[in-house]
Amino acid sequence: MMFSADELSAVLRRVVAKDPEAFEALYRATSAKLYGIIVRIVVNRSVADDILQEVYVKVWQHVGDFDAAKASPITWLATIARNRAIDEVRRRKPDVAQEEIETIDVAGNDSHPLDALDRSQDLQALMGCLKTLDQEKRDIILLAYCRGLSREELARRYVRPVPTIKTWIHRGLAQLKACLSS
Amino acid sequence: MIGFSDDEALAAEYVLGTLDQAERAAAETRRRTDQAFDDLVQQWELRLAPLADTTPDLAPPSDLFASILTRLNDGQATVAGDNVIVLRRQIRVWRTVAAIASALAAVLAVWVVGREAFPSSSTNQTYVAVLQQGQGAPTFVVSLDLAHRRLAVMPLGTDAPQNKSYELWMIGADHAAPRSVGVIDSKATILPALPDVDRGTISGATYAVTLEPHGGSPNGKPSGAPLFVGKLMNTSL
Repeated sequence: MMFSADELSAVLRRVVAKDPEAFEALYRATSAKLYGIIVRIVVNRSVADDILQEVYVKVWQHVGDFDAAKASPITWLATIARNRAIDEVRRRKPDVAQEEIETIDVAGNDSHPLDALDRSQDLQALMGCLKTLDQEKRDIILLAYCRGLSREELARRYVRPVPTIKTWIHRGLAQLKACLSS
Repeated sequence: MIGFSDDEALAAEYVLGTLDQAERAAAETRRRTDQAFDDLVQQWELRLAPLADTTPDLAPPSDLFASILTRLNDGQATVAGDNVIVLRRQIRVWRTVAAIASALAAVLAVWVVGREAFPSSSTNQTYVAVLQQGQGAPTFVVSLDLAHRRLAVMPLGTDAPQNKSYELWMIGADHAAPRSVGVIDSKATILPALPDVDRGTISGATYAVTLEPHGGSPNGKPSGAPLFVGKLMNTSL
C-alpha cells in the first residue's frame, strides 16, 4: 500500500487522535520500510522483530511529537527505527559485533545504494554529493548509516586506526554538508 | 574545517550512528537540554534521511502487528479506555488473519509442491505432511511421492540462522533411531526417500526438522530436540 507524504501525514494525525484503524493503516504502509532498515543494521531477525514492535509502540505513544513542518512522516518513522537499531548494536558486546560484521557484505550482494540514484530529488542531490567524496569516505558513510557499523568495525574493515576513521568520517560529512548547501 | 564545529561533528556523527554507547547517551541527554545542538541533529537527520530510501523493504512476520497490539494492551496506561477495547478486537482479527494466511500458504504450498515436484507420479501414492512447532504456524511442508521414493521439502519463509542448517529426519513407527533424510535448502528441496527403508515405514513415519551445524549433523544423529514435527497424510484419496 503506497501513501503519499500528505496522505501519510493525514493518517498520522488520526493516530494522534488514537484511532486504532489509522494505526493499522500506518503499520501496513510503513512496516516493511522500517523492518528493512532495522534488519540491515541488527541483522538478527528475532532482535529486529523485537525492535520493530518497540518502534510502533513508541509511535503510538509519542505520535504527538511528530511535526509535519520539520520532517516527512516516513523520515520521522525511519529516524525512530534507525535510532533504536543503532542503540541496539552499540549496546552489544564487541565480540558479538565482530562476529556479525564478518557476515555483512557492503553493497556487495545486493544493489549498491548508488543504483537508487533516481529515487527522489533529495536522494539524487545526496548521492551526487556522495559521489564527489573519495570512495573510502563515501563507503564509510554508507556503511555507518545503512549497516550501523561502529568506528571500531570500520577501522577493522579498512585496516586503519580508529582516529584515522574518525577523521575520515568528519571530513566526509563536512564535505557532504558543503556540497549539499552549494 | 571551516563551517564544521565540534558540536556539528558530534551532531553529524550522532545521526550517522558512529558514536559509541557512552557518547551516544551523552548526545541524547544534550539534545533534551540544548536547543541549538538539537537543531543541528535534526538538520543532519534531514540531510542523511534520503539514504533510508536505498534500503530495500522487507516484510515483517505476519503476526508482528498482533504482538504490537498486545504490548500496547498490556501497557494500558497510555491508551484511552475505548481504544483498548478496539485494540483488543484488532488483536483477535490480526491473529485470525495471520492464522488464515499461514493455513492458505500451507495449502498452496502442498498443491504447488505436489504438482511441481511430482507431475507424473501415480495419483494414489502422494503423501503430505505439514511440520509445525506446537500450535504455531506451519513451517515446512513435506510431500512424498512413494512410487518414486522421493520427498520434497518446502520451507515456508523460515531461513536457518547464519551458519546453521535445517535437517529433515524420519522417525519410524518401529522406534528405531531417527534417520536423516537430508539437509533442507532455503528453497524447495527434493530428497531421495531412504532407499533401504520399506515403503510402509516411510509413509507411516513421523517427520521432524532439527537445527544443525551448517551442512547438517556431523555424526548422523540429531544435535537437539526436533523443532518442527508432523506426520504424512495420503492426499490422493
